[in-house]
Amino acid sequence: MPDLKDILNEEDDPKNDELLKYIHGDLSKDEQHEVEKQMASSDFVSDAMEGLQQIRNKRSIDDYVDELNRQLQKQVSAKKERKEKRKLKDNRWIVIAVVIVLGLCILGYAMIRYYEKNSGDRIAPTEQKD
Amino acid sequence: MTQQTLINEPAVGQTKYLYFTQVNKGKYSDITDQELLEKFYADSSNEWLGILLQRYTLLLLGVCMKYLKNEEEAKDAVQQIFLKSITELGKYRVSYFKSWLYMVAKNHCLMKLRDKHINVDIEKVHLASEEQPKQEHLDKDKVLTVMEDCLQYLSEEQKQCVTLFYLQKKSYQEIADDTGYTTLQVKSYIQNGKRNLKNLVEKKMKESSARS
Repeated sequence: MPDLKDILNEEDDPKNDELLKYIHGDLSKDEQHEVEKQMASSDFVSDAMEGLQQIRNKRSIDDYVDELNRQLQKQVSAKKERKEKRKLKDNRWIVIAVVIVLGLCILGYAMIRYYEKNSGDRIAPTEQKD
Repeated sequence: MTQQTLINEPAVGQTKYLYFTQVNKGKYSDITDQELLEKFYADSSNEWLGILLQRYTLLLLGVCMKYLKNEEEAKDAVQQIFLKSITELGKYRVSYFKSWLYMVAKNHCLMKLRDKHINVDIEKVHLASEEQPKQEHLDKDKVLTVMEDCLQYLSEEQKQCVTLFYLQKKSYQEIADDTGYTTLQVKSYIQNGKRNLKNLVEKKMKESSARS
């Protein structure tokens, strides 16, 4: 038995397939009333239903939604791929930096050894003199 | 099963609803919007946003269609809203996703119209009904008395439509047929009547609790 308190009740979020059925006129009277209660509770749902009613070929709504969902998935995975590529790119620079630093260390060590050896060669004859 | 398997395209010949319902009745259907957002904030994986936004594709398409009045423009606008949402949600925390998304969509459409130099009477954005937590602890009998009283303060059209809709459970179309209003007027009288009634009841309840 409906009473005035029903007006204050917040409705649950509407299910998309119910909204689609409402637009296609595939709901029973009670189900239709439930959807209309959800519309009365939410400006988002109400505006959306008003807009969907303006689509000329109602059967194409499902196709539009499918198409948009596929594009959304592309956007989401494109962002993910970009993130992974960026990660790889970042890692590549780290590896290059490490190689350069190691190369410089080895070069430095080799040069020190070379100069030590050279200066040792130069000192050796004077020692023989004494 | 990954999200990718949930969104496979339907084979030729499958019903139109299939792809759409596959997505929405997937393994994430039990997870609330807020939980999906928390998962996104925890690992920054856009997959969560994909699942979340997909729940609102139909509503977004409808809102864009309402303002832009063109199917192709509405579809483009939904894609742009998706992109904007993915970018913005990475920057800051959102508490009431549904209301936030509605606001983003509405603002996007109004900006589009402004770019086209179309003047729109910007309606007041009534987000309160979606942002406020549900009322649970009001004394039911007291509310009923207050409501009967408050109903008298509504305009005649609002009172008539609210009563026919909530008490006699009539549909928008039936009310329109009975009263001679258009369905858009009926919708508007019910929405505004409900909002006004709610505000009046809350005000009265506050006043009576302050007195006692």
